[in-house]
Amino acid sequence: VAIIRPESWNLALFLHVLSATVFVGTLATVAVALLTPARYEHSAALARLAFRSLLVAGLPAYVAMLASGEWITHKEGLGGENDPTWFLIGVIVGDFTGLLLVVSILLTGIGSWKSKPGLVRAAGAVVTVALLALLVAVWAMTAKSP
Amino acid sequence: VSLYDVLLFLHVVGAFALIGAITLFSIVIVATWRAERPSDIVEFAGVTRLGGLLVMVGTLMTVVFGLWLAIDLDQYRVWDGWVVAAIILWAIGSETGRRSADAYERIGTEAAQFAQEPVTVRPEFRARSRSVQALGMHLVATCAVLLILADMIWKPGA
Repeated sequence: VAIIRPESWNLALFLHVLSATVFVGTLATVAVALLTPARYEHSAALARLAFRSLLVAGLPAYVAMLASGEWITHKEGLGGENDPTWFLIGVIVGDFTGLLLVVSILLTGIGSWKSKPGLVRAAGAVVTVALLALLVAVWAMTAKSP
Repeated sequence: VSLYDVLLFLHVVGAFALIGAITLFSIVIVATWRAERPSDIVEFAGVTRLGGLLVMVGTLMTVVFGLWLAIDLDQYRVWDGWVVAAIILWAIGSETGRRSADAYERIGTEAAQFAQEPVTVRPEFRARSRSVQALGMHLVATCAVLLILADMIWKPGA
């Protein structure tokens, strides 16, 4: 793959893959934290952990993934009229997961602040949907024969 | 869809699992350092079970499908410098990651002894839960995985 990819694309691709993997890791952490039943009644630690993770790790990773994605889009000359399907899937999933990220931040924040377990579990479900969507994007963006 | 497409997808999914696990452990380590109650540390330790699973799946998938790709593609050889470097880094990352995970598992087990009551973390336990050695192992594993990713993208010498 490196042989057919110009060297000048490497940094943008590195940042795109790195931020996407950190984003996925954060969402996986949040999904487990929100969907695992708390062992101790007095502990609301997992909901707080999820909220802070989404704000401090998930949101910056998402922004970095979008920015580096834009960078490599520009380098590859994509973003015009006849874009390949894998690119369109990536863009749609990127926008969709951004929406889900905002919804999950709001649900987790309110659920944690107001002690509403239903909202917290709903946020866990939203994050899980985002993870599945990202898996589709990974398939679309890797399974593109040179 | 070609065999190459499937192998690359599975290899990349493995990389996502591995770096995802590193992210998960990093979040839990920071949370453990800041934790005020033993029960919080036990809750965080529960999250790392997924991390352990992701590490296992990720390390296996990256190596098995990565080597398969190197064998399948004519332009790469398993003994190419960048492939060998990735295997060495993978071994370093796996061992240091395992030691770090073991240390944090012990911290979680110890915290469980005081977790039934909403008490604050005792100072002597706080010192152990902020183990510099375990953190150091985690940082080495993180650096190794980041270097593997850079190696995979730049493929020096390919």
